[in-house]
Amino acid sequence: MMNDNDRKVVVTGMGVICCGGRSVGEFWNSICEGRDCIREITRFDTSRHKIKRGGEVAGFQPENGLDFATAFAVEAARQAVDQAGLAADLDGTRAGIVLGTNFGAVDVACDAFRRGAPPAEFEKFCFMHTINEVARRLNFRGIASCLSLSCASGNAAIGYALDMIRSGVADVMIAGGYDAITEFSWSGLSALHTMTTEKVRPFDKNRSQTIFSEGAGVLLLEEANHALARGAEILAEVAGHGFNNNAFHMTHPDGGGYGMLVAMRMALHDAGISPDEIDHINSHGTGTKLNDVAETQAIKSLLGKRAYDVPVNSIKSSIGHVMGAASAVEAVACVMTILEGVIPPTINYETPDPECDLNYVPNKALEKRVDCVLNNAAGIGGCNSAVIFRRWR
Amino acid sequence: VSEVSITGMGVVSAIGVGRDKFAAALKARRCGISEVTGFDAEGCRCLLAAEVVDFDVEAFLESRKNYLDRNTELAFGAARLALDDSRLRISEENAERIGLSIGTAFGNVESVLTFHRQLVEKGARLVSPFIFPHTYNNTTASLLAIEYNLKGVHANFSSGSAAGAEAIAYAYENIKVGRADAILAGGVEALTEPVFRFLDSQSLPNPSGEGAGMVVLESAEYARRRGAPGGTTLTSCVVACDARSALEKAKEAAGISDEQIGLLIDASPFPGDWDGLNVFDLQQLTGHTIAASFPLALVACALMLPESGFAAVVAGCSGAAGVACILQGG
Repeated sequence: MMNDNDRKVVVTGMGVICCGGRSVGEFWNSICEGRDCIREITRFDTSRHKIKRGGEVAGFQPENGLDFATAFAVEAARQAVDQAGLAADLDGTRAGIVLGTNFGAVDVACDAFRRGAPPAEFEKFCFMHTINEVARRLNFRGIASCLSLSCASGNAAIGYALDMIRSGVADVMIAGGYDAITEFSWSGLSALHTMTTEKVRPFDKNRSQTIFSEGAGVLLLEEANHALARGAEILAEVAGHGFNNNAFHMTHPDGGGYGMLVAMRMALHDAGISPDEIDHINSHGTGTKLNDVAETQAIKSLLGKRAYDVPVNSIKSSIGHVMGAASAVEAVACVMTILEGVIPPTINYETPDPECDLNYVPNKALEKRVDCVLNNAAGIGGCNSAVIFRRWR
Repeated sequence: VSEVSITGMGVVSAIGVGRDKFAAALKARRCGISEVTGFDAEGCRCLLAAEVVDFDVEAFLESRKNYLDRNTELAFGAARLALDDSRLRISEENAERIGLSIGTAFGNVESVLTFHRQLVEKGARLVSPFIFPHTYNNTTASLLAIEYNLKGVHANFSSGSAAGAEAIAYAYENIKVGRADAILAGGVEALTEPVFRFLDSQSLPNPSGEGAGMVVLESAEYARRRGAPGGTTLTSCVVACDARSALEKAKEAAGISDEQIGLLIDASPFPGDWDGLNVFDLQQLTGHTIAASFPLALVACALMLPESGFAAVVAGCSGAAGVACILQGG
């Protein structure tokens, strides 16, 4: 059963690839130093696009035959598995994988269909080819799954992996999210007017929408006793999760951020903790007009007066919005914050907004002991997901 | 820990729309497989498919929609039928306790292709902002949540043929542990040319098919309290590495042996050999309906279940997950 506390779940490995870096260390330094990692896009010809800058992983060439999305997933998962130092005699059937994505490699599939390629290539309309590629390379032969909940996908995958380990389906799981910048998604997200030609300024009065990015974030989750028995270094505990839907609108948040609030409460309930125990919130913080107000309201409703004392950051200010991977990449930042006692800043913050009046860790990293972090995410279609990470006792 | 009941069933399939027509077709062993009409299948190894024809989504919508992908349409039909069948009323009071857990392997391919065509033929500045939100794999799940005010636990699986099975197993677990009182759960798959051609290249033993199967899973206590139509109990529902080990675990959880399983349906793309069990070959009638396969098999089992007997539904896909559930007649 899921809430059977006999099986606790911990993080023993992490991997990241994004415009902020190709390792956890590089990524962490970039966001803590407050670097703006958004650059000109080179992946496709941007002359016919209004938005020309994004969070591209510069100079990256996928291994032979892999599409970018899959290559990012493989890279982040490999890092996480390497860090965890899993034994060579690991029972592969007890090692599972679940990743989340928005678009996978559907653009590659569309191109293949259009040019009349062999039908086997049309498998890329389904995301499992990526999950299978990662699983095969790392010899994870247990359950393999994919959750797609738009920009809430990464957290949802981590939450699902948490449930799978709790319920005994697996002892070890690769969990995270991946997405690549493609002209397909870029033109669609531009057409929805979600992106800005300016900097990403979450919670700033003059914020003018977000900028999308690419990459992958992966956590290696492990049943706590399994990790202890092999003497693994435990980085943090995954304490609980919640995912729900606003049931309101495809592209607009609901009033007062109520759906987000409910997801965060579900996560607290699942973790069996009170809002008073939350030391820090890594926000969805897209820098869009509507999200940042709704999320601020949700956090205030969740924490009451304490909301003003709990630092809320958005690393999207540095690395942009990594779509289906965003909350997975941010989950890595959450665990690093617990380990390092540093909360990365929300950069590009200049002008306070009376509707967004919390402590957003503006422009400079904050040194603070953090025992319990809430990672919040939301996505198109009204999907919300929240995951809670806690210092391992 | 709650018992889980199936209080509503909705079906959109090649052999019938709605539980009664589906039940009659099962009884008559009516086959829905015929020559493909929906798209060009020239050059394919097999020119047969189980397509859903004579289905008009208009009859199943709460409000007018300007555009829906066919995949979403099939799901809307099954969802409405399942919710009506359960007589579950969703209000602001219970909305947060009622969730959605569905799966679709390929999602809204029709919209993805339309959007891609616009991009290639008209250029990035002239793509449609109205089509784009329909290209997400979770579009159908989100539109269903909005349509029916399903504010609770929300999951959308995109894990290939296993997606619908995982969605039902996850709904089951969430009700079991008390995260929700009721969940609309199931799977959907629409056939499109690339999906059909891809499946054709995989040499499946059955022609491919399309459809949607949805059930309302509900905690037995909640169902009793609201006076829900009595019905089938989902005694266990288990995820494992493959179908066979999932069934072993599902039997163990239900406390039953092979002899007590009166009926088994295997929803896998490559069904296994279940020697000694009474297997019903649903795919011979509906084709392999990908992510809708397990949910449709679950409904078929519930409809054909002998009173007070047990039935099993299994699905396993190599490189994904195995799921098995045990149903008990009421």
